[in-house]
Amino acid sequence: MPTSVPALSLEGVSVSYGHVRAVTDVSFTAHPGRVVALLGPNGAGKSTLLRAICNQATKVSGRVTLFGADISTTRTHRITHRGVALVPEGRRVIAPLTVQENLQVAAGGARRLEPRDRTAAIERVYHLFPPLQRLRDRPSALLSGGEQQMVAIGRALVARPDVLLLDEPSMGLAPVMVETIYGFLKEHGATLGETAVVLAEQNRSALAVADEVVVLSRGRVVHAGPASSLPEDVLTEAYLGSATPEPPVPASSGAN
Amino acid sequence: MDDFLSLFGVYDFAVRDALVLVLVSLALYVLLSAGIFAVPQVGLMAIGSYGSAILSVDMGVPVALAVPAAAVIAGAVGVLLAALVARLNGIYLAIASIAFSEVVRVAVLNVPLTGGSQGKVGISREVTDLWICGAVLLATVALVWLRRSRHGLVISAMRVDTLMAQHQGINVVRVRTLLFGLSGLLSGTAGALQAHTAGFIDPGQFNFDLLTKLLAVVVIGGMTFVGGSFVGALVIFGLPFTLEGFAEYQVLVNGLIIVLVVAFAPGGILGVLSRLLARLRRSDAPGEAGSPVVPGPGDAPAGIGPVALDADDVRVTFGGVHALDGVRLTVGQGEVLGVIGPNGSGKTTLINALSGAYTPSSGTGAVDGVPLALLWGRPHLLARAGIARTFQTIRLMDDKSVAANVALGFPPQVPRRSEATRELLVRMGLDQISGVPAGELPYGVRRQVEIARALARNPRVLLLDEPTAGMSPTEREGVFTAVDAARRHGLAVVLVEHDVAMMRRFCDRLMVLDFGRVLAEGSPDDVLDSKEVIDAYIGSGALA
Amino acid sequence: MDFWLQQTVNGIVLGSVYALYASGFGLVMASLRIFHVAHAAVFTWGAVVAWDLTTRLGWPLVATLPVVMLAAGLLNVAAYFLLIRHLLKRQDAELAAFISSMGGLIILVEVAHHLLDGAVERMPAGVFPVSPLELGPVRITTLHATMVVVSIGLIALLAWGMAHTQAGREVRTVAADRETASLLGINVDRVSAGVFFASGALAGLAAAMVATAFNVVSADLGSGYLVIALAAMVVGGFGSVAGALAGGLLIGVASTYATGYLDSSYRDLVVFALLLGFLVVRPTGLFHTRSELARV
Repeated sequence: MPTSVPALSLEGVSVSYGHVRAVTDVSFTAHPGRVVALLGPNGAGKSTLLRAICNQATKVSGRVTLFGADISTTRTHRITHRGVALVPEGRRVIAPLTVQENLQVAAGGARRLEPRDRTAAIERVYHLFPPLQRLRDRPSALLSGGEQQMVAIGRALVARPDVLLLDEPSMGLAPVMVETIYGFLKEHGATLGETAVVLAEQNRSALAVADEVVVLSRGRVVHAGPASSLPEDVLTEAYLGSATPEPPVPASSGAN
Repeated sequence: MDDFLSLFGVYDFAVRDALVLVLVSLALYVLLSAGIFAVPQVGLMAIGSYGSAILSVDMGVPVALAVPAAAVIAGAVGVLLAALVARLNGIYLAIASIAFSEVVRVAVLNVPLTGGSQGKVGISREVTDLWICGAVLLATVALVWLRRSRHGLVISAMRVDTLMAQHQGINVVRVRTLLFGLSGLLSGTAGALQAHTAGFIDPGQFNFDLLTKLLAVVVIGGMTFVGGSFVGALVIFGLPFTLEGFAEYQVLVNGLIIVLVVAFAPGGILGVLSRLLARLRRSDAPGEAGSPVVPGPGDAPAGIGPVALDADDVRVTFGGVHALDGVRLTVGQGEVLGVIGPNGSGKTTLINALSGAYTPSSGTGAVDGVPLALLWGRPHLLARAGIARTFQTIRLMDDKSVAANVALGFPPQVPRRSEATRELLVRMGLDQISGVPAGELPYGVRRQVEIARALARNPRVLLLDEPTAGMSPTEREGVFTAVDAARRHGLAVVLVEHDVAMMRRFCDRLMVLDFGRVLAEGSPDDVLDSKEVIDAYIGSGALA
Repeated sequence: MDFWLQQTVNGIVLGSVYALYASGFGLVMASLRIFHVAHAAVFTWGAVVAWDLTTRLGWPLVATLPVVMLAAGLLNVAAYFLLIRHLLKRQDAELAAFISSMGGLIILVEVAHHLLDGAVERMPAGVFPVSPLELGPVRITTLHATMVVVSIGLIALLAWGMAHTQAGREVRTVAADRETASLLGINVDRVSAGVFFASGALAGLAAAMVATAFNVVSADLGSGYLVIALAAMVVGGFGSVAGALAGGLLIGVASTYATGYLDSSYRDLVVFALLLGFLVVRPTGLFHTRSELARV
């Protein structure tokens, strides 16, 4: 494990929506230049956690720090200005805007680029995702899911964030498209440099590009460690439950 | 006797005016309390005024007939308007209704018999104070009755959540049309009475200012209460008489009160009072709930019966994306079919298509013998055909009691609704909390209330969309017990749930969706142990 | 033929000012999906400020315009923070914001009433050098020509800015998805306040010109033109700046034709019937395209 200051650190974060406790006491760190895979089944709390980092979900307790500075109560747009970029669940491209305009909004909004550097930054995104080049002037509502995902990721990368949060980028995409989307993560050093990446996925294919893995189940961390040595039964248990007979329904159940 | 309001001395005109405006405010209440953002009342009132005046002055109809006739005409125009603007909602509906009033206002200047911009004069002043008070009293009694009946629940449900209301078998288009008619009837009555009280009509009075005044009355009093119009009118028309020198600033203060009420007391004066009252009463209400479920009579565990729901080739497309791509699904009586699949695989879309929230582009099959092709995209018809559902985020009327929420689920033809509600609550173990507002219950109990509401219709099929998401183990237990009771009752259950471990144990059959298609189907163990499913779910190890 | 041409030109003069009023109105409506009726009062106050500056300080009209725009813009920003902002997260935000805005309208109109003492005031003579121009068979005054040029010029500028500047893109982003906008680093509150400012400034400018052209300043000025502005907005299509221009011109020309060929009393009837007709038959207006600001 690197000993440098973590780019992003969560300490005991819990999140609730009204009556529903979505995330309980989650802690982990992400270091510059490394990818953390955040694995877990549907409803494990991955999206909520990423939204909480950006202060779009209300934290009940816990602390989020960026290079040691507390950003727990910083407003969302300021967190973005400070170098955190989220690719949200469901892509959320700005439908009436063209591909180019989506990238322009992000390049300007992030406040990390001088106006004269923005064009070059946007061109870099087209270079990273060549299929977008010919779609430049198309309203993004008319793109396919995979193309929209490229726009969403390109939008997050355009201002070279320090922390990149990806929320299920492969969701609903065909395998070929998943590979395209993941391509830039595999050549991490070349495209992302010192950016710390948190990749939330349901599918374990995320492990192939990750350095570390955190497994969430029902809002809690059930495993954390290097990505290369994730015990098989951890995922099976978290996702499918055990096949061994348990007391008949109704019974309380859980991975914890 | 005929003008007993003159006991108010020099203020008698003001009191008559105020009463007429209370009547129009009630017309405003009728629409706003159902969550319909429409304000055509000023135009409808003008129609009532001119209608009655023309009938009595130019056509010689006796006033006693002209007033109700004009009211009916205004009601009919209301129904017509509802049909015209049936496609509009929100801001568009508000603008359309304002435009309607303006069209009426300028139209009366240009049609014969209205007296044009000079106004209409020489109208018989036969209307006595008794008529006015009688009309207000009648309207109030009728509206209170309406509110207490099942229709009141329907109206509240529409205000809180139109989609939820549709899934309870409510034809919201029809209800909206009828409410427009009722609003027209009340506005028209008020207009007619006013014409015959004053003896003339000034076309200038039916302007935007009148609307602002009416809105002020309703908002300040509380727009979801029948009494709100009276309380609001008392404030708006009463303050100038009680405060010396206030009249000059009255309008200004009205505006200020509106802004403050919306910001700090959205329920108006009566809303604040009723909340205070509820807080006083709460001290003796039971806090927790959820005694164990007692299986009802005839709930013997039966096997899986004949097919209750059978759908084939269901397709739903969103802007080129195939959310459901030819799904086939059957579920038998007394069977729980679990639907699982990765995020975005189409599980919730399936529930939404089967319940009518989305319209599939194709799909055949039948529910309880009724062809689905006739029902797609019409939630109220699917509900009536026997499909009940719960929602991913619980949709209840939070300010209404548990009993009222469950009662909403019963179809209108059920006799002795309150008794049936009580029986169902006992069966679900919710009878101890039947009087508690749904919004104050813990999450798990709220879900049980939602399931009870779904069962009230005595459906053939129950669709459950992630009923236990975010619950504690004890809460889950309560929900699964309730579902199990439904199964033993012979219902066909379609259950979407993330917790695969729980699904493995609980469901009779599992169906796995991936990319909007059925990937596998069969007994839970067979399905979950197949390599195909594990690959789709967890992924096939490292990416090539 | 000449009469027709003259009526058309008169309609364009009227319509260009309606368009100015409507485009700001539509901008707010499309960005926040609220019916901000107090916009009508901001219009009134634009006229009142212009009247005050020209009468008491003796400024020429042209000098007052920037001040009027600034004042009306700031007034609308205040309306956003005091009447609208706290209601946007409510479940019934549309209704609550409409009623709150209605309260604001009542207050602002009433204050104007007290200030003007309920009277209808006139702009002082000579605030703008009016001389007739003859373009072939058509007569137009310098004032009217200025109104058309300024209105259409500003709307064109606004349309260009919405399409091609970072600020314009940010406004469209906020309109489409407030939550994602803040993830992209946009200060949603500031953009919303900016939209209210621009909208108020346009209303103020339109009001100053209307007050001068029709020589009337009263507390009810804005409310009187409210439904006409709504008509221009709906006919053109919500939130489309070019649409507001087309809608304004159409409404302006339709109302001068109604006055010229029928009778002045039919003018409002034609306009309001157009509004109601469009809402019933084609609620998305003339200029509804996929890339447009508002979703319907």
